[in-house]
Amino acid sequence: MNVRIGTTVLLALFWLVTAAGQAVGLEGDVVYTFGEVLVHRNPEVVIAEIGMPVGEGDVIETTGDAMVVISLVNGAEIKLRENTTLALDSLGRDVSVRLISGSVFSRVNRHMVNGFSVKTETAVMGVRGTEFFVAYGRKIDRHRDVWVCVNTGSVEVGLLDTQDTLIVEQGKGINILGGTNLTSPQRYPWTRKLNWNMDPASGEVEDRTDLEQAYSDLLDQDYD
Amino acid sequence: MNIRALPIAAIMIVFAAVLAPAEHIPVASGGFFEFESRTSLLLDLGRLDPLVELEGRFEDTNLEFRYRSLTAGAYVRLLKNLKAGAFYRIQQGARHDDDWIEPSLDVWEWVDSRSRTEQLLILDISPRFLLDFMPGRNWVFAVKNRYQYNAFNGQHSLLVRPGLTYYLLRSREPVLNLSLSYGLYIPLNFGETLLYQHEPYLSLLYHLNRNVKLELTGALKTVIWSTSDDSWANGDTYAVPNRSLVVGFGVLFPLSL
Repeated sequence: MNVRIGTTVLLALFWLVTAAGQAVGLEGDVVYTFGEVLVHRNPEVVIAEIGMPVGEGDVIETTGDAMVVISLVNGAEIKLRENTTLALDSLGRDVSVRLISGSVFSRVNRHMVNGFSVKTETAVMGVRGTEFFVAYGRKIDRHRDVWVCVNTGSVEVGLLDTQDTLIVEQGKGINILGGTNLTSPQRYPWTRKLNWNMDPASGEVEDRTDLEQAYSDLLDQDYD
Repeated sequence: MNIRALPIAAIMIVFAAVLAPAEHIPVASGGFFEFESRTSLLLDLGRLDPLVELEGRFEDTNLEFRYRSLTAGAYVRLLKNLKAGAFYRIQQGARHDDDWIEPSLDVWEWVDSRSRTEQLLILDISPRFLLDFMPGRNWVFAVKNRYQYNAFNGQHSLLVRPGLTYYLLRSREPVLNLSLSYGLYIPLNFGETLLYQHEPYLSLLYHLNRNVKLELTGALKTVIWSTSDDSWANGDTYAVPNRSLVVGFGVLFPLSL
């Protein structure tokens, strides 16, 4: 009898710990900021500080020349570049963030996260364990271009409209033309200068890559 | 000489040329067609773009390989819309006004300059403008302004070449450039005409990949030969146009480090 009660208590405790852990898992922490970073948490807007928790439903905004690194307790880290707005849609075992504007680096620990996805207005990038970068490009067609570059692992890119998908392997990138046409993955020279570091203790965190380099500069084409 | 007098002087020179004995006037020494080729290596070091180029031209009777040059230097992007360049060129086989000679009495011919080495300094400044209001939005208007000093004969000249380029893009990358321009070659301290050469110039550049570009060009070149030293000594004056169609082929290797 005592053994049965003890077992029940232990199970109850285990459930409580697990539930508490999951509850904690719905949050992340700001681990580094530079410049003005805002957290939109309806109806409030607060300035992000190091150590500040962020959670589901928060929208993170970096202004010009600002950036922020957020650690999601389930083994994922994200780094927002300047002029970026990102919504934390889901922070459970499946993490889903939505890039509204700008660009974001993501690092995902495959052992701790079931699924991780970055959504844009037209596409979704899903991974199990990798390091990749998603950025809005120029608006030439109806929707903006979306650049996806993979540093490690691989990323499955899917179009929301047509359901077309493709895998982008390590070291390669694609441009989703107008957000609706998948191009062939290739090595883009401009991506070599991306700063993937998210740990201030390991060096410079800010990424100053000029994303305009992703496009051919027609004024720089001089061959005679 | 004021500007108003220029057309009168030009007419007089042409009139004098017509009256001059035919054998004393430079004659075209070959067919209508000329072929030229070039190979360029261009490095992209950000704002600085070093360049090395080999060029050759087949001309005259039997399309002899006569002119050849090696050019080295660099472009620097001063502003978004402005590039400047400085180059050194060594060349052989170039032809100048004074190469029309009378080696013996009543025998007139062009100097064979294939073994004559000349060195040149070239300074280039080219403003460019993206005409994104044009259909397709991928148009660039540029004016190539190139000053040239030839150390062999001390000649200074200026090339002004306005041109329009259309870029055919695929997946946001250029696939084909189509350029139409007009080159105006202005002698600064030689010749008797305002222009010593002019040409409409058409260029097609195919981007085989990021590091290999293939070029096909065509120019309807008009060279105006002015009185040579030997002709002056003979009492002749002339300004004789000579027209040819120059077809060019190039292979370019732009490399990004």
